Amino acid sequence: MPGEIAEITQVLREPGLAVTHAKGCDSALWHLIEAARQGDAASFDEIMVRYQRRVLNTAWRMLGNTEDARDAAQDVFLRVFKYLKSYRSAEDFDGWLYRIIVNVCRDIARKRPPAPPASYEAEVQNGELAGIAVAGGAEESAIQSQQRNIIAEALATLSRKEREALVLRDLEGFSTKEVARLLGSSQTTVRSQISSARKKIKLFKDRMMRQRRG
Amino acid sequence: MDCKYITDKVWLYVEGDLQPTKQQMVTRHIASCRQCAGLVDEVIKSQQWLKSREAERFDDAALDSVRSGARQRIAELQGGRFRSLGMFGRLNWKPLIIACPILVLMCCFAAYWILDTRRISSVPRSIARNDGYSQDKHENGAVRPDIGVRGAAKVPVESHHKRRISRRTRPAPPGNSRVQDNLMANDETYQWPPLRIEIQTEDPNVRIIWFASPGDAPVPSGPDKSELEQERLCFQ
Repeated sequence: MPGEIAEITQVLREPGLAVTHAKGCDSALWHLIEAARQGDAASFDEIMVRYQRRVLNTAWRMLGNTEDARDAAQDVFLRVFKYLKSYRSAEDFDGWLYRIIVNVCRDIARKRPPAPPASYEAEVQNGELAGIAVAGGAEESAIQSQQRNIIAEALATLSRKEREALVLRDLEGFSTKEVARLLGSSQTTVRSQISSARKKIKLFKDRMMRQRRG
Repeated sequence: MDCKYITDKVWLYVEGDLQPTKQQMVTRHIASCRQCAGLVDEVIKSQQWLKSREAERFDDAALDSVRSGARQRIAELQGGRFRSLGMFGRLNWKPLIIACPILVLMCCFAAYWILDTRRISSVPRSIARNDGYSQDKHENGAVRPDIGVRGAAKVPVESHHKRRISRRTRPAPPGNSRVQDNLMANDETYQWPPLRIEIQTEDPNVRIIWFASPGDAPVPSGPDKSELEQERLCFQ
């Protein structure tokens, strides 16, 4: 049993499961940034294409609905354009971008009252989210959709800070130290928030599973 | 290490968020405790379930709308707000707006300084009209000295500028001064006219006046009154 646990833990730590974030940025990206700084609209478009999916997903996870996520993504790119001149090459571009995402999501969450999490099926029906094609067919797709709903509802039960910490640590794959830096708080605080959030998620998931079985 | 501690720390243990020493302690404990090992297993599965959730896929239309919206906002930022102002719309107004109050303050100070200088410069002319201590020319063309000696009859300075020339320094009009009349009337005490020396400094507000009153002390003999009178006329 302990050996099995260690094996699972090792699997969780493999880079495939978590997004890896390289320090600094590659030369191609750096050229794009330089060109965008000079006012090249095509280069800035290229940067947007590179990061749009990640920005939109992170914003969706933090805010919980597509409309707000879309607004947040637009605002993020606007700020990137505005402050691109202040970005230094030695800095981690992903970290810099995520700091903007966190700030924008915080601003939007402050301005708007917390909305109930939108149902995944409803958003697919509205055409806001594209349906995910699953190899297993309709049944598998329905199960995944159900899971998505549970997770979205579970995230909605967390406080704003717990949600930010959990999304960045578990879903975006940053280390605790990086999360602390992005959120501007101490590592101890982040650990406490993550621990509490994970506990809440598990309790919510267990309750929902019991309800659906019953 | 008891099981309660493990229950608290297991949420961090599964992702390796504990310090290395604590991580090892928990590992040792779960190796010997089936209950805690079961809990760790459940938490790991919960984490796997959370992470296995595939990233939400936004369709191309949603992504295009994000890009077009961002472009639109950038265009607004780049001068759409001041498009109607033409060339001025492209100016960076922020420093100007910040500098505005400073410029207004500087203008106020400059205006105050100019007005104040004019008011001060008007004072010597009024003095000149009245008492003759100015560099202005006489009617006969002679330049008046800036220094007056020995009690020339003073006409009061009719200046509106009371703040600058105080009542104390203002000389009394001839004939109206009781002190002067008394001195003139009493020959014992008025053997010598009151010595008065005035120096007009460059600053029109400052005039140094020496006024030597005979008082009770014996007065030294001086020049005749006729000589003084001639001298006075000469200065006038």
